[in-house]
Amino acid sequence: MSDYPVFAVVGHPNKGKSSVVAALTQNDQVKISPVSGTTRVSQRFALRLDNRTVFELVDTPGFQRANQCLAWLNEEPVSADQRPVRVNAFLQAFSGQRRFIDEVELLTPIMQGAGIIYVIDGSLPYSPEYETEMEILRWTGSPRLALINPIGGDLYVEQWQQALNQYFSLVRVFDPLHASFDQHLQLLRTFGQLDTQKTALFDDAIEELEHYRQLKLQQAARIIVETLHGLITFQQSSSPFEQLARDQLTAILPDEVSRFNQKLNQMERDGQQQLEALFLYHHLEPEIARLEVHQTELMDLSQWSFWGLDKKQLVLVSAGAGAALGLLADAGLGGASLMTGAVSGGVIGGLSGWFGLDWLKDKLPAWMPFNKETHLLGPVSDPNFSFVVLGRALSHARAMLVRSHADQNKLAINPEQANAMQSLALKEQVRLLKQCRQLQNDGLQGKAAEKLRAWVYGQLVDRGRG
Amino acid sequence: MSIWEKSILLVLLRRRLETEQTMDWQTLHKRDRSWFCLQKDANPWTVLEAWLTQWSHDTPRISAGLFVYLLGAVALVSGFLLVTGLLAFLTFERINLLWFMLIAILLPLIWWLLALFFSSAQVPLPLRSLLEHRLPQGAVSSSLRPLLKRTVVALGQQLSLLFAFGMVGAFLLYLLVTDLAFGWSSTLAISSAVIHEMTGVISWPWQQLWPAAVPTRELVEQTHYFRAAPGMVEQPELLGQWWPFLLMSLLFYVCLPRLITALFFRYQLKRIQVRVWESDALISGLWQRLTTELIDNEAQPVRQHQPVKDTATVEPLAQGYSQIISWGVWPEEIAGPLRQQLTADQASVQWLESDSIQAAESTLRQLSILPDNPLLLLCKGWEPPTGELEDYCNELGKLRRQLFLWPVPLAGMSDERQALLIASWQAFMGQLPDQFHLILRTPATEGSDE
Repeated sequence: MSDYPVFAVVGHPNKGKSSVVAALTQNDQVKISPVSGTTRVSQRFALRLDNRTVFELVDTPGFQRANQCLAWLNEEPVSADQRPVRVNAFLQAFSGQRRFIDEVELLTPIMQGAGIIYVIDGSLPYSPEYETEMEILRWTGSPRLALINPIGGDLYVEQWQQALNQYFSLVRVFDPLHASFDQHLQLLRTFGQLDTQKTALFDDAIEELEHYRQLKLQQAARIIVETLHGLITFQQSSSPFEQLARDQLTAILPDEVSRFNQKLNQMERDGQQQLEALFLYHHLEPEIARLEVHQTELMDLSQWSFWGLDKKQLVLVSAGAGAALGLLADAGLGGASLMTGAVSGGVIGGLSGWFGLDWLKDKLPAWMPFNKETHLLGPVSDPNFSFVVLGRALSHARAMLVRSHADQNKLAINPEQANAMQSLALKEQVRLLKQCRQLQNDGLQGKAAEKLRAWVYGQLVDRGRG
Repeated sequence: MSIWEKSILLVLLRRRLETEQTMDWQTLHKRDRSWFCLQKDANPWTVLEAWLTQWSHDTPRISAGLFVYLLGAVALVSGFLLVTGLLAFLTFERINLLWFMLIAILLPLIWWLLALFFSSAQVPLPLRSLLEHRLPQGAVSSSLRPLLKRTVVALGQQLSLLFAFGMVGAFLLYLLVTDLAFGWSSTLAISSAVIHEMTGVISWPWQQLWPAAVPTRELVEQTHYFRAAPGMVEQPELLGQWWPFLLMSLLFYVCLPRLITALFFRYQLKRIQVRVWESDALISGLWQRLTTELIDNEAQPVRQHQPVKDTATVEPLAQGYSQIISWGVWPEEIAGPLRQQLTADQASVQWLESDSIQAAESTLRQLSILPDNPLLLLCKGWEPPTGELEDYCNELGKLRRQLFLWPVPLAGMSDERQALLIASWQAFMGQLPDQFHLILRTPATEGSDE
């Protein structure tokens, strides 16, 4: 017997046992099929903390011949204390035989000490036929918990609860497709109650899981803010422009804008994929409209630079040089000029820089290093763009946080959620816009980035609990 | 590890981590955590360096620390050489004070002011012009540009400080081992009073601290010399008395500003390194993976059953089945109307119920004595087929030549759910004898029937 709790997830075929396992182990690689009888071999899924197993879930095949199995068990009269022995005898008798292959797979982990998690579908009516399965499970003498999985609705949940209460000490409703992280933890706590000797072990595991989740949300916030920064500062240097005459710019601009949009979407998707990798989703295809900015929303300018300095900086250098020369003249006059030299030198230097640089630009030979004219497209000038990006990133992250690993459909993102930023209080919107602008200027190590990360983290925590 | 190596480490780490940023977090966590658990060094920077080294051991890296030491040595020697040149180049056996101050004090001071200006720009000049254009695409992530900028600025300040120390060192050495004779001379008719006033202003900061380092009027007048009259001086020892003033000028206007800014930018660099460590999504993510316990979901590898593709013959529900068996325990609200519907046309329909093992055996016995007419087997379509049903169907297959299996749908169930259940029934037909035909009465066919 293992020193950690083991739970066998059992039940009738096609009741979502594999979905429960996928959701609880946060593993979307658990094979889930709508076709009954896909799970034919028990499969163990262990939750480990640094190579120390905390608990193990065993995904088992569904009961296929429950009536025949119970009939075999009842063939010989046994007292209640000998029933587990009789079940073991059943396993010995039919192990390796085709007839009860599913029942043997299903009962083996239980007889090896696993607790029972019996899964039923709360959207279908109760039927006395299930009592056969529940009776067999009772024969094993193992601790039992019933999980009502409302696969397609909760119409019959009450009916099931009444029946299950008679066979199980604990009955819980758990929707593996829509359960939040807190509900997952709650269910794990219930597992701890099922095996009272290992409750402390479960509490530790839950604490670790909560801590781990917090760290992941912080990481998600960093990724979101980094993606936001990348998108709002993205500037496309359009090299073809450099060889083209100005009158040709208008002709190729639409292509350049489309390339800009393509790059923006790629950057956004990169961020989304980082989040998906973080939350262990391997096959997600988010359904969200493409980001689209128009030419009018883009900064569009030609920038000449010499020695890596733009015109504004060059004017300042020119003014500084003028002032320095003036200062030398002042020094030569022993200060008698009262700094007139420095001031006038600065002004003359600045003005000649301002007016002379454009003239100089055309005179400088093209081969001269660090003398070039670049046409820059972007960043997006509309301040609301950062809101749109943030809203979309949060919607994507939220959709993933509430999504279960048992859900194998496309990741649907509600377009209204993407506009959720608009529903924030005006004061908060203004504050966020200001922080986005500061992020653009100060970069990812600035205070604004820190504040934005904290805000995004808060949003994700709220959604994770929701 | 030096502060410069830390910056380079962060840049290289980021570059390495960008190549795996969309890789499954769990796989990375497993890899990194197991590596970290084997490490003995507790210093986080050394751990990160070791982590990076395991991926780039095949590409030899020049030690950034050694490179900076070399640069530092070059700066120190350059400063030393500058002052050596100024002191060794003697005109008329005198060192022109004005020339010395211009080159050794004013120029470094202007250089310092310009460096301050450029370091406040978004990207400092040395980085922009010397590095950025030459670096290959993607060598430095744009998110680490502030770190690179501060590293270049702090390095520039440190090298300049060493340059200044080299200057002071050379000055002190020459002071000790040679006889330095300072004087001042200018083509412009600058009076001694102006020079005295100027030196007074320059030496204002230390006039209380070291009064001897403030030139006197007499010293200024006595050390004025002319190219045309390089005659002997009455008091030659006066020519050497300029040194305290020049030394203090070097310390106060060259070394001290550099020292302050070097310390300030070094502090800023340290701060941004910590910030990058804490806030960069990839680097902090790596540190998180290294230092937090791995929560792993390990799946035992098994080979599961592959569902068989549907090849079942599907037929609509017809009228006139003379033998009907209902499989399982049915809720009366479903079974009652169904029975009424299927037996309405004929009074002679044989309706059998197989709701237990005993009942199943009994129905098989009854069927064996009934004529071999087409038989309709009713199953609960909202439940999936089981092995027991399969066994029963196999027995029926031995008794009848034509069998119809109808998984009766549950009223009110969604089409989507219904379709999933039908898929199970269709796959199930592959396990049954050929006499079996599947009857599907989907809502669509029901509509068309009506």
